Amino acid sequence: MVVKYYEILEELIKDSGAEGAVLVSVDGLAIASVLPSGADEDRVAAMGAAILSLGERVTSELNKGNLDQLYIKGSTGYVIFTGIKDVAVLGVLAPANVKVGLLLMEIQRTIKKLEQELG
Amino acid sequence: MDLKDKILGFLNKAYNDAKLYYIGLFIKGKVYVSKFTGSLSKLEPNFSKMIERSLEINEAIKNFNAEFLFAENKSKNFSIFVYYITNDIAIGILQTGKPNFSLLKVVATDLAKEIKPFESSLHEIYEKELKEIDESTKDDKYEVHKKELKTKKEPEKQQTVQESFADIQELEKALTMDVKSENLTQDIKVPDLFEVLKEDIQEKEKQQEGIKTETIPSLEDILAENETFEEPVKQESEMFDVEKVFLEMNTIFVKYIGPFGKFLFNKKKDEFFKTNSINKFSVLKFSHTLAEEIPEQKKREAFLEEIKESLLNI
Repeated sequence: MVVKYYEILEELIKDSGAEGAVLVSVDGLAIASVLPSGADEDRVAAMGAAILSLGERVTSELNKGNLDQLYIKGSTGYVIFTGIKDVAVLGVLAPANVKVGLLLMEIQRTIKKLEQELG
Repeated sequence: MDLKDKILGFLNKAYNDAKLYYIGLFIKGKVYVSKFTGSLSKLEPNFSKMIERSLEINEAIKNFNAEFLFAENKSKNFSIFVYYITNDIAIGILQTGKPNFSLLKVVATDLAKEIKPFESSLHEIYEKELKEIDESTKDDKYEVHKKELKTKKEPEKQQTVQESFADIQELEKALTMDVKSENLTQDIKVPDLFEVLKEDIQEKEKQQEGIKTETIPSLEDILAENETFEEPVKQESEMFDVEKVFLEMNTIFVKYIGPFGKFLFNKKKDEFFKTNSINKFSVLKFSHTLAEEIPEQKKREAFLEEIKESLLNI
């Protein structure tokens, strides 16, 4: 099963032009990851789960439901965090010149696959 | 006019122009000044924690240099925008209504240009005001810990140290031990659990058949029996303490597959016992389903062996 998650992440990277991806449990532990050497897996995982959860709290405080997606733009690229039901978070690292529309579409496809796998 | 009022003036302008719900200036994740609508019981602390954690991205990914953060809700009527003026100073914005990323970015960029010249003053303010608050809470916690430690009696302390030392030694031993090879080289003959359980169940069935042929039950008895139909299964599951068995299996599984094992175990358990009732046979079958998740053949065998041993002990 873990192998299956790696396959899904690798497929996402191949199809979207992303640099890396990490699947994180809601408690901030990495389930599977394919990340470039400059990224610290544990920190990216913990930070992703934390900011998405805090963002959710801010949103629910205002009775605005759940957060759909959260992305951070840096000088070298993007990091996009998306919640998968209430069980996991998908983090994707992409270079600054990535085609954002295509990337977001591929992320949605990957989310569907992961939702099926995670049950 | 002091710096706080000056910055509040900038924030006010942006707040009114873009009709925002909240706008604030954060230094190292601590709110310095903010302007908002309505009440903010937990909103501001959560938002500031979120900004504080997001600053870690620059350490988590080399040369990332975060510029902004954007998020919107599923109903597309609320958005969060954080603009990083420097690596530790950020403007945080919350907007209700249809998200307008471009507008938020323009507003924040203009604001950042106005605030940027005060960067060094803002750092000084953090050191003087905001950091003090942060550290005083840390000091309080430290004092509480110190007091707690002082009240502990000396012998108790020694005992605790000895216990911890023993724990560390045990942990070191466990970590350095080659679980696979140790288990494989042990020549302990474990009785086949399938056979043991099979015999046990066959015996029970024989006993039940015997009871049935002895007397012809009355209609009342048959009806009463139907009402308590679930009982034998319950009794059996109670006999071998299901919770304890699952807990033990989970611990062993996590040992072989890592922390993710806990999550996988629960998922597999839910799937498996959707179609199977809980009894000794199904639990044993379930352990084989779990074993399929372990990639290495040797590890898989060792896992099954350990499960068998632990089930026999329960």
